[in-house]
Amino acid sequence: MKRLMVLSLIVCSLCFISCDDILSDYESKSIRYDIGDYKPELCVYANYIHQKGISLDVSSTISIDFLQRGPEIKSAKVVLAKPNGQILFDDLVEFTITSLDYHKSKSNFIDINKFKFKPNLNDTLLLSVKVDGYDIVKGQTTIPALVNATKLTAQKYKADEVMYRFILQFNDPKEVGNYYLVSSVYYLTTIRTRQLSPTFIKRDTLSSATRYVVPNGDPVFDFMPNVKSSTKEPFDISLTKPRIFSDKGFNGSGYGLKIEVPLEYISPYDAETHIYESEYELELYCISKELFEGQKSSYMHQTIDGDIYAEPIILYSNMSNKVGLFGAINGPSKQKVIIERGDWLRFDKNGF
Amino acid sequence: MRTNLLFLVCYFLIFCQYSFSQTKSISGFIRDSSSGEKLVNANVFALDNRFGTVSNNEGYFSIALKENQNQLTFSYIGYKSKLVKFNNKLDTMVFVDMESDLMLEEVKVTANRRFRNSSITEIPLMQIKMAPAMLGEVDVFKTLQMLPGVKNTREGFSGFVVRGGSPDQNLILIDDIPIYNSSHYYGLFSVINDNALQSVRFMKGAIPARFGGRLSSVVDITLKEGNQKKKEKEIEIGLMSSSFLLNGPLKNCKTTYSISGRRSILDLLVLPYFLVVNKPRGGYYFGDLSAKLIHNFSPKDKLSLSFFTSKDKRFDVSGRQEYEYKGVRVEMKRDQGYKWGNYILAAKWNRIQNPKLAFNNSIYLSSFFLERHIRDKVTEQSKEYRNESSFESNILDFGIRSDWQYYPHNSHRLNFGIATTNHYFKPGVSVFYDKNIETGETVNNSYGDLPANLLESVGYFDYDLSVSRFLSLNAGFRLTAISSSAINFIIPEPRLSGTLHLLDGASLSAYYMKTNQYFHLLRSSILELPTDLWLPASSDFPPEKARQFGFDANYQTKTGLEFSIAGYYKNMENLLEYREGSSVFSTKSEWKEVTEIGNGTSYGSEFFFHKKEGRLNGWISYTLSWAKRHFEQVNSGREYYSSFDKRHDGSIVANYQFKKNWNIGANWIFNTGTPYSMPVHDVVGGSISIPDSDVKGSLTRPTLNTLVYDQKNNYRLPSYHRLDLGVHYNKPVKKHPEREQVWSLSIFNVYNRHNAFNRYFNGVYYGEASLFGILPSVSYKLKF
Repeated sequence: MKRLMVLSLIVCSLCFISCDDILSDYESKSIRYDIGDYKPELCVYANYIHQKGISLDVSSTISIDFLQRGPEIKSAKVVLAKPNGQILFDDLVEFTITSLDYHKSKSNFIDINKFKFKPNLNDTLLLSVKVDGYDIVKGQTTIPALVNATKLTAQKYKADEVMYRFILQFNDPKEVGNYYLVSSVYYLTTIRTRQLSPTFIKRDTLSSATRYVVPNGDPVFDFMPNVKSSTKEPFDISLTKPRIFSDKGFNGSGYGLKIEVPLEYISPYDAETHIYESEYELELYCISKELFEGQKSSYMHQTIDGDIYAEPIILYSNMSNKVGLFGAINGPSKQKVIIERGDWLRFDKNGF
Repeated sequence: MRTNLLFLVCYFLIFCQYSFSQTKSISGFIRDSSSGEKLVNANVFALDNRFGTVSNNEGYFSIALKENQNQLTFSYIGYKSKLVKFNNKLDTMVFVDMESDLMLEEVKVTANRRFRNSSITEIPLMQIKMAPAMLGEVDVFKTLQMLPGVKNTREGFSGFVVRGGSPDQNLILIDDIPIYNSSHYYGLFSVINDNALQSVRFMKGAIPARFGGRLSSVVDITLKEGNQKKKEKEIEIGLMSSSFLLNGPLKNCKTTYSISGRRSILDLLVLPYFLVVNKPRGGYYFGDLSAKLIHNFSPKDKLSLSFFTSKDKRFDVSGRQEYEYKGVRVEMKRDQGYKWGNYILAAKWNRIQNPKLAFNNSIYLSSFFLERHIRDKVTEQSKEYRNESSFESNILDFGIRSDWQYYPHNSHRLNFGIATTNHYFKPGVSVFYDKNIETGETVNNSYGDLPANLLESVGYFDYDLSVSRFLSLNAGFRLTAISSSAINFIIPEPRLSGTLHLLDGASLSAYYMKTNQYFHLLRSSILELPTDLWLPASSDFPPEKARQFGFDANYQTKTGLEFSIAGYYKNMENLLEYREGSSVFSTKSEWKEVTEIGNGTSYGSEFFFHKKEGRLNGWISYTLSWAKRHFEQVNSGREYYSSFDKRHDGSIVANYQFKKNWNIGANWIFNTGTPYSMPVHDVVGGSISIPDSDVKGSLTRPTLNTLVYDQKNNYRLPSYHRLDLGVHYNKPVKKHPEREQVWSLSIFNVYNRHNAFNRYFNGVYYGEASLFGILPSVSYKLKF
């Protein structure tokens, strides 16, 4: 009996130690993973800008072990057509190559004036891109209607509040698609010079630079928090990004889009010696469904970068090889408002 | 048409009336002879004309015999069959005490196999207790995972999915009360202490209308009520936890009690070490406690009070850290941790109104809680500053239900009842409190949904009817009304099943059922941490629905062998998943912002060979199945395999009593690896710009070296297999023959296979993680 007890205690101790170790962490090891024969894909990011042309960005995917990559991309045969067979553009597009980064993306802009025919609003466009060494890649999009932003106002809730409320009035083209919103601010700083005269000396301290401002809240959420579709968009105020929002909540009428923008803290010295003027401008575009979905998934991809607990994101693609995007955009419709109160809108430190 | 229907109903009523008038009713309770504990689902049948019934959850049965019939046979797995004769021509109530068959010899005839509901699988307690236990923790859910159609969520975890569903779609009832969290230790062990188990029933198809509120399955667990004849005590010491059981009669044997508890011991073992070295102290413990008090006012009236709680807590309290801040000595202390668990409090009144009518009325509270917190306390000279963040999620159910059973005839049994439950949800509230060390300003914010109430009212009936010796039917209907400030739904759930008895012991069954679930569980597909978030149905996220139909071909031999083949097809709607890109530790203020709604489909076939009794008993099961999901906003709207899809899943479970006091158990498990997501491309470029924009706007593009997935769950882990062994030695105590002591040795993963838990690519290399290698354990149990 004693022997059994002693033996049991030894076994128990060993088990306990092993259990404690096992339960405290799991084993993780690097493995050799044979990804097999990898087929590089042509990655095309193209965007039709209504009445301007197509921005085209072409690159090759590489295997995630970086060992397998596609042939160099020097030129691409680009065909833009309508579903009825009408060819709008058909030509070889050349790219400038540098020897060190041949696998990186190549950009070009095809001006609308090079088109054989100009497409109209709501036309569906078929794009095909052929590069030597890759399969032909195709995509399809529809040109959205033009949104009309009619008025932009700016006001504070209270005089001492550190927040501005901007309201952009716009008319929603019915069944149009989705929206893309770009905001910017342009500052003029006036330095008060008491000694000279009542006339101030004005100086543009930012050399005409424009900056993205940071909305405090997401415009769609603020505007219509109870609309079902408003919860569908992956807005995150911590991200540097233009705003996109879905057309699902709109029905062809006029709307006012509310955006709250916080103010920067101004020291008492600056407040005493400077007067600030800022020009706040909004550009509102209509974008195709494909572009909207692509942007949405791209934002989310950036959001989770480095987060190992995040669910994986399947980047949206409407291309035939499921890599890249072909979208369309129409706009902008612009509105400006001048803020003369001497308030400094908080801008994105990473913006430009 | 209407005339025909009227004629049919009249015929049915006249037939029943005629039939009933010719019978006498024999009813009563079936109990264990040594403890007086009820025996649930015991078989009762008349030998001479081969009809019968089974006892209900209270061990009660009622059967009508013709005047010339005078004997019944009672049988139950692990007990000697008993023949009882009746001379009385009047209605009779009996107590049938059955004797345990400890020798476990080969069984002659087990039961009249026809009257058992083929959709209900009874898990013999011996099978649960004798199965090899991981770290010595006997786990009812791990035994369930080895049944066909049931799969584990992760290796070693007690979470399970049934027929392509998800873990939240299983209704787990403890004495008829639902619990929400069924596992300890991040899901490794179930909250059910095996010492307190009385019976376990499992349903995955043709679920009777009495059960509802979940899509996929029902696990109906009954806990011990207490020995009516003598006081019993049990203690068990294992590597992970120790447990106890006290039960016995109180005054006049009309009242019994049963108390069982369990607590992990790892934190206690390491506590002295932390106290001595004064290192940052952390730990983890779990525990559960169940208590039941039963009073029999008369043979027909019984009142039971029950209490159950389970709790897990992880804590990490750092020692004081000192540093200098702007020339001032500052001390900082951090306290962080998790805790989660359940509480159940219930009262139940059982009454046998007359031999043909019995009812249970019950009132209960059931709650689930989850909390995570981080608290920093900073002391600067005489000032104190705090910074706290916490996350809470709670559910509190308050319910009343009344269940009735009416036995009009041998071939008829009617169950009906009503229930109403108020679900109070607090679905994830994050609280941030901060007191600035310089300014003294405080910030106190709460994010999350407001608490919500959901009232669920249910009425149901299900009718068992033997149309002839060859055909039996079960027709049920469940009507649920759901109301809250946001939604109002009335949801019908028809259930229909039929069994064709071909030969003696052979049967063919088919069923159709509709089930609904009124709350959702948001669950990470990456982690198995207590991040589960229960959410009420709403207009945006309506109740989950499932339609399932299937068939079952079953053959049982007279020696207790059972063969079955089953097929099923299940369609599920309004399922919830985390949105692509959402993180379980996201600071999003509302859960709606991180969820997607979609559908699922699953289908498959199951094969089962079960030897229920004898020295060698166990089963072989195999499932071939598919489980798919389709969410508009996930995987670009394309269908994908669920994270729980395992094409082939099989297990062999065997127990063998090779000597009188020695028992050996073995499990071998095999399944196809689960799907997981792995990027396939690295995109090194790609952008979309808008030239000529006044603000130089540039649309967002994938960043350089973006890892691109072609679809969700595009790869599978390697196949999984594992062998577990267990040996149990029932050592007699010479001086005290009434005592029992059992030594158990279990070895989990005998051949030390490092099965893949997950695979990942971290941007540089591929990695694979595995959880458990070989894991021996020992436990000791003393019963006195």
